[in-house]
Amino acid sequence: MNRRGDRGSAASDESLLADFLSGDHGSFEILVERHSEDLFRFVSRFIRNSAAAEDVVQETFVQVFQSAAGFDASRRFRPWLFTIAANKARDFLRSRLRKRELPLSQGAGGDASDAVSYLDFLSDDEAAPDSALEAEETRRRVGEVVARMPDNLREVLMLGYFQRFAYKEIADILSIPLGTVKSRLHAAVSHFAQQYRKLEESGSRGRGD
Amino acid sequence: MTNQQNSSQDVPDAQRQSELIGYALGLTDADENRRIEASFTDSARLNEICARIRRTLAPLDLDPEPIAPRDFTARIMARVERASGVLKFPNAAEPLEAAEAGTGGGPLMPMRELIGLAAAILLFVGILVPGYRTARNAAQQAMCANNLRTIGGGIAGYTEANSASMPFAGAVPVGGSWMPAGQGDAGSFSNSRNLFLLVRGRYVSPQAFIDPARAGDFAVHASDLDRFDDFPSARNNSYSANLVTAPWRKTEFEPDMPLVADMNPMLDDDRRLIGEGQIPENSRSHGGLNGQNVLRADMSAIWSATPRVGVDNDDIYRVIGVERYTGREVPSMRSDAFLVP
Repeated sequence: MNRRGDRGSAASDESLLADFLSGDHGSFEILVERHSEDLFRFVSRFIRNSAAAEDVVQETFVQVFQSAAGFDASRRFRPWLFTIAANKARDFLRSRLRKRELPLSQGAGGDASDAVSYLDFLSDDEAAPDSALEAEETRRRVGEVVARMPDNLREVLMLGYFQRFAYKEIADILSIPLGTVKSRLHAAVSHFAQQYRKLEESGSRGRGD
Repeated sequence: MTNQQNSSQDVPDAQRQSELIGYALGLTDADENRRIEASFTDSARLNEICARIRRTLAPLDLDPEPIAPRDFTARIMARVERASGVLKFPNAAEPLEAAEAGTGGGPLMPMRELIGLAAAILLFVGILVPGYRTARNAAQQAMCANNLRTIGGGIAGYTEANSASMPFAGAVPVGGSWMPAGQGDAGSFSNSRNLFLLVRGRYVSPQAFIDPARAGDFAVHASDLDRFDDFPSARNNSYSANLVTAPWRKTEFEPDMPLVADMNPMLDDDRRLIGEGQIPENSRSHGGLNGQNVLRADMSAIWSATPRVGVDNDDIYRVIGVERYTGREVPSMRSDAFLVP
């Protein structure tokens, strides 16, 4: 049995980080084991590139290793870790845009600023996903909609929907006001609903339904 | 209950919707939850709205879950160790215990001073020399990774100028050797000719093909570029590239397909196959670090502590199913990366 794993499973992230700062480097490895896969899923979904996500996650832990002494012990470790990862992921997206001027569709709202337009998606009779659709086709549509979503909306949606961070934690991670988190998540949900429906309708027309 | 109140609950405004999304996904705290629940006189209506929000987002569950590499923790720790300038995390207890075991209680001052001096010298040697080596290794590894990024930039420039075609100078003849020219038989076709197109076309500087960790390698002289169709000397190229048997386009590869990496460990410094049983798993270019830099098709350069960094953890230095190498091996399939000079 892995002694390190046993010890790690009982200790909180914050106490492991404190142990690491006291010279127990094994504690750092436990933190890596505990969070690397989850972090990889978030970064990979956010930047839509699993190869680059590996690089981003590695860089994130390098920074955690080097900056651990500056960690505010009154805060929780996981949001801090995601803060670093989100910053690095945004750096990656910016550098990619500099390299290739991607015609990234920003949707009807133009740029991806906080001046989002609110779609009353709740006022529509939102249909459940067509269960008869081929799963692969649905997956492709979802991937396309998420990939085309403005970065700042996709980021909030990934943190809220997949990582289930609380509103306040998302505000901490992204260093934005709580109200902005709420409005961005709302915009992200609206954007997703609208674009997914559009693709679904165009797919139905293509099939002659 | 007034009609006005009912109406406002039927179609919540934007701010209200934001709160309800958070509530439906469990992102709101206990106080907010109580406030939201209290604002609905009909809890069934609240449940209905939450169900609709979840239904709207349900297709997201079909977004494929990214899967981290099997040895992800090891890769991260290798990167951390390298970037932090330590080869192994130190265990401070061991040298202290050893020192304590050696202390005597005798009154011999000269001997003590001698021991103190020796300890100080050992301390300096023990700290400074490995520290220097570690820092040098880390710097060389970083410069090497930068070389690969430069080569990746050159490949991107080449493909843009050549209708997305990757550099391809020709194929290894059937049954022929991929060993560099002059070392194989008459049927040889050096794989490094593909990379040389980048140098000859001025997409990449010859210096970018020189790994600073390989002391004997040197850049091909600029005046020689137009006279050759391959690196004139095996020492002009420190890297191995994916062996391809036909023209190929950039879009045909998975993003994590390895394209270029540190020198294949099967070859010695002069690009001769080394004896069976003596072949290390990783490239020997960065011997002190035990791993290799790899440039992938998405143009990211990564450090890997294992050669199993290809598609589906494929070993980038070996052909699937081949154990003995003669210089005539070719990849068994397109996803089977085989990087040779």
